[in-house]
Amino acid sequence: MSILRIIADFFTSTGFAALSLGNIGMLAVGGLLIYLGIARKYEPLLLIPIGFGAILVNLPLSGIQEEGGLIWYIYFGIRSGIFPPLIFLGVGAMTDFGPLLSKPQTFLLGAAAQFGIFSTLLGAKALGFDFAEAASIAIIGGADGPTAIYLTSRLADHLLGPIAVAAYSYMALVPIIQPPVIRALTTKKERMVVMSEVKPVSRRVRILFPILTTIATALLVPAATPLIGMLMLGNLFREAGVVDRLSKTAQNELINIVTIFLGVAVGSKMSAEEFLTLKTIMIIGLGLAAFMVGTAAGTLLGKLMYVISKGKVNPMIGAAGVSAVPMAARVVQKVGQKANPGNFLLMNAMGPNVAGVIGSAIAAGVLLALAG
Amino acid sequence: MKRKVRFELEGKIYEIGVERTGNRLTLTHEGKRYVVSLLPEEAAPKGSPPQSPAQTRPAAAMPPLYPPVASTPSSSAPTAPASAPTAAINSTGALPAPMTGVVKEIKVGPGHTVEEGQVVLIMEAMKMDIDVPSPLAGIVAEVSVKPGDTVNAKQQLMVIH
Repeated sequence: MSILRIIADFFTSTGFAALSLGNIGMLAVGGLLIYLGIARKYEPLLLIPIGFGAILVNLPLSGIQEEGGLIWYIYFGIRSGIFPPLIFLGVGAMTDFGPLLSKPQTFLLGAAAQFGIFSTLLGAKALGFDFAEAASIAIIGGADGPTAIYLTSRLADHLLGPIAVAAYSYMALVPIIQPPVIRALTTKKERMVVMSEVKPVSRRVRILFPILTTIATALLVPAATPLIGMLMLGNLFREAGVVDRLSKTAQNELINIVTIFLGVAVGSKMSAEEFLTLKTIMIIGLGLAAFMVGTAAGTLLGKLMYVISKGKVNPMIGAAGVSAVPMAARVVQKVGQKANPGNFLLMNAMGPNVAGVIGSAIAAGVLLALAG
Repeated sequence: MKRKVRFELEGKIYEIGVERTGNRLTLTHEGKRYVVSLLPEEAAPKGSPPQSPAQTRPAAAMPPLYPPVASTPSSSAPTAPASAPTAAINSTGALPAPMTGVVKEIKVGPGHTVEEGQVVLIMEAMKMDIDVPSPLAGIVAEVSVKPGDTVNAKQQLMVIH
């Protein structure tokens, strides 16, 4: 056997020979996500593991993604629908529902902002996606990463890569996407409205809230129970005041560990065949539309409340009803202070904002029920 | 508008950049920035030369221009007690915290003249920096908090009148 033959045999056993053009494209996409995470700080906690996961699965011949491979096992957490509710456990432990409980009427704003989901559902159907796919794309408008991943993994897991990337990218872009929509729909006079302070609520209310919300939601939209149930359990840990250890673990170690696995597993769905398609471009466009319609719907209901309350509600807080916490509330604070330097809407915007988390999880449950 | 000013002090020549915005002067010297507020004549503490237009915040705490010391290189103000008119406070101009949060930076000290809308303090809430402007033009009589303090909504941050 000639030495040349041996070299040739060795070459065909390396990944180089099997590397396709699509793989190279996806390596670039993975690199871009890591770049956006590090250099632009776009949701780095997610985009770095997602980008690296994309790189891992686009290096051929490793078998890492095949049955029995490392990523195949990690992906179990998504396939089984466990990871997103565990993230929600941590989110619940981190979330102070006080601003919502102090002004319960703001829950309506969190619900209105979910309108973007349902309008995008129709748009995606019109573009030729089937119902399960359209529902998964539409949930991007809820501006909630774990919810989007949960619903997509249940309904259309071949779209998980582009949907997760779109959801997390738009969350990072909330400060850029929302202000023009808010400004177009409100007058300066409305944006200047100073709202009354958010009053603290009693401990008893804070403890009862997660329990009663779980019971009511689970009865009303049973399919939303995994997400809402874990969200509220985490919140009960926080508010109970006697299980600090559990609350801290849920909002730090546990959520961090799950985030690592969730990110890598989502990244592993970014294969060239499934990502480098026209569908991905349509998903990114539809996701943006969902986001903007959600912001607009929240703001418009805010305007209605402004009229009904005779000018006591700043309509902008409706825009915070998309559940990107706390980015959307920060946007409202910033735009409000620009109109009136003495205007501090942050806490008032947190009410619809945390309501949005509940709202988008319920919307996911409704979509699951409709698709089921 | 930025100007260069040269002067001699104890046999050494200094050249500093001076920039004025409203009643605030930004002095730059060898890469360090010092922000000072101009006080009205009558507010100048006794003993300072009456012809001096610029009164550093609190005079005693202004670091010497040489050597370029590390203290107050930025615009964060020392809140050391000032010889300025702290005596004349009255309860009227209490500036309340707009929300619960942490005091991140205090931009003025007792005795400083502030304009309406001037940012006097920066708070942090929800990992966001929030500018707190002065609701009126006046003189800071008292700063009631320090950086790092957690404050509740409506808690008094400072007194301006």
